[in-house]
Amino acid sequence: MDLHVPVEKDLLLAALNAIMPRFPYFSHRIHSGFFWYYLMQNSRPLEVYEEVSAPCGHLDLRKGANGYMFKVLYTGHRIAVEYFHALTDGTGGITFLKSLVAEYLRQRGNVVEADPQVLLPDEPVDPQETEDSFAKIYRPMKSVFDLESRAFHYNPRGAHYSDDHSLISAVMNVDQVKEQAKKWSLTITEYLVCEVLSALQELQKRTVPSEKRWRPVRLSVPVNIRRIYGSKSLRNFTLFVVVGLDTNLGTYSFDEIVTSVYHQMRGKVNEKSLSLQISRNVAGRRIPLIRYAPNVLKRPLMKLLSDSYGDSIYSSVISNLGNVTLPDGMEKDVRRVDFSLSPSQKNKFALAVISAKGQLVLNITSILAHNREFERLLLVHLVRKGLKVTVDSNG
Amino acid sequence: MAYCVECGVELAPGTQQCPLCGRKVIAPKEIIQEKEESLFPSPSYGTVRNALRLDKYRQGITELVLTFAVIAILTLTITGVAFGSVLMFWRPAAYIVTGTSFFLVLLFSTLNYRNIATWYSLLTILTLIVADSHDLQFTWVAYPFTGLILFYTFSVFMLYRRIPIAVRILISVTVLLASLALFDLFTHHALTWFIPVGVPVVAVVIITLCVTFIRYVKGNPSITEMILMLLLSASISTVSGDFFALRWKESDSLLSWSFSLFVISLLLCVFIIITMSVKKVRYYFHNKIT
Repeated sequence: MDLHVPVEKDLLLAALNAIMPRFPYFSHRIHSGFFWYYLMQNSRPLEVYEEVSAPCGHLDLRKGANGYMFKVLYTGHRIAVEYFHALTDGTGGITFLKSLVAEYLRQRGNVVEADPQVLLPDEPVDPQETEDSFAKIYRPMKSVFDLESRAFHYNPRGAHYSDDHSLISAVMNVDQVKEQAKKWSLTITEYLVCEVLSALQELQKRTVPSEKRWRPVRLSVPVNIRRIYGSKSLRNFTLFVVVGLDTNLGTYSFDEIVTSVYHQMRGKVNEKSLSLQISRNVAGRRIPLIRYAPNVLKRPLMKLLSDSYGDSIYSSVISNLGNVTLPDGMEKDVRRVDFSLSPSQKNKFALAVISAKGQLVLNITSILAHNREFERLLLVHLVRKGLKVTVDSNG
Repeated sequence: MAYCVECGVELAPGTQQCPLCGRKVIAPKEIIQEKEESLFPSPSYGTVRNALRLDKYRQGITELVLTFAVIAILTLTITGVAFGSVLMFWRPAAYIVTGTSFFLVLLFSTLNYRNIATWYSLLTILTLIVADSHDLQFTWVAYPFTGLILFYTFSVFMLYRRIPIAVRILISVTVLLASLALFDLFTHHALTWFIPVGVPVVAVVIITLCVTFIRYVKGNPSITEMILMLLLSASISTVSGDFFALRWKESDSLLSWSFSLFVISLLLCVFIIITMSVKKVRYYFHNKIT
């Protein structure tokens, strides 16, 4: 969150210490055992760090942030938190950040009004906030694994890669984007998914000259399933749906992309399909053979499975956190809200969307150094649709 | 605020260059405006790599293979201890190490013929040494070892384009001669057939191949002619082997089993000379007529 007021380190640390009892699950550290990873209470002191490197860098879980699975960062006018995904997801993350910033502003003398996503330090902890919702709603179902083929991955020739992610930030007016999405009877997420798929299709056309070598372009879209299951958990409770286009069937026009994405999203984002996915995910850890297999075997196997059933089958990720409301007492001091995801080695860019104060911010992080081909394709597409896009970068 | 004329996007205040296409902004200062506080810290690109980090898939396979290898070696060591000697099963353990290395080479080395051939030659030698090291007495490993060196010299080293071709040929011939000398030494514990048979045969091979090469470079031959010349080189070299072997054995006859091959060589030679002459005669008359 970018503020209009300067950020003072000591005050920020005091705010962090004040809100931590309200987030008991966040004060855990991960411990590698013989059979599985444990979460243990972390008694080490909390710290805040100056933001010196590009966003979403490597988080050392042992020493990085005194063993905590999140890291609070600050610069002149900015407070940021980086999370390890096993700890929480976007919703949990934004709740923590909002509570932290609210407490910081409160300590500066602001009177911050109540907000469902701003948890107060003196409130009692709701047990539902720390529950494992996956385990709670799990019910055994007969499930079949759909084996998806490998998707298109952008591998430019002579590319340079860096652990310091490059970032392109595009700011748009939420109402303009909403209006554009309404033209096609889509939600903002669906509309952006269509635009990204269209850009990926174009990117494949440009970079893979032989049509025989074309692969489907797919996107992984995280879905906030709290509303569907009525969960209040601040732990990781998100599922991904994969939507895409089989470009081997030919080039898709934007109309065709819209129709396809509309039906795919509605076919996949419903309680039955999601319950099946949860059943699949949770069933694995209930099998005694897997449960009691030593970590040295489980860890490499999980890496293999994660690549085969995860990163390989989609070309990128787009996550929309939705509209972030800011309560009175906070709104006037917050200039802008950002959200970024960490790209992987296979999917070289990740897209993160967040809206606040009438602005929609689309952040594209990439491991490619000095290569903006995809970002340019996507944003030029948006400009051609009549959207006003303001672009900034970190490099 | 400024706009990029190439991409059509509005640029954030203070931007001097479009982040998407790199086009420089040429506009008055009032339009470009003052730079606000940086959005995020700039990437230092201090660790820019030409290749990706090990992906999870390769990482997973590597960890799995290493885990199994370590478990297998530990099991062997414990069994050895139980039977009274830690090093009792050192050979199976060494096989596990070399076998694992064969696999890991595929995952880690750059996949090209030269790399793989070099690594696999080295690992094959190691495996053979282990296989022949019963009671630390080496018996037969020298033969495949020499064969591998020959394979490496002619199939891999000859492809090193950075080294001049003349040097490559010279080194390869030296290696060939040295290998033959070693074969002779291993078999008879002294140089017996190497000088009277090995050296002259190698000389014949080199001369015939040089003639073929000169013909290829200077004469613009057809593919058929080149194949015939290579066949001729092979047959002459084989005949010379028989010839020099008989001289070494002080036999009275000039050739024994290779006589028919010698006749074929003569026929091939005549055929090649006729083909070349006919070609020249045809060209001569063709030019005269035109």
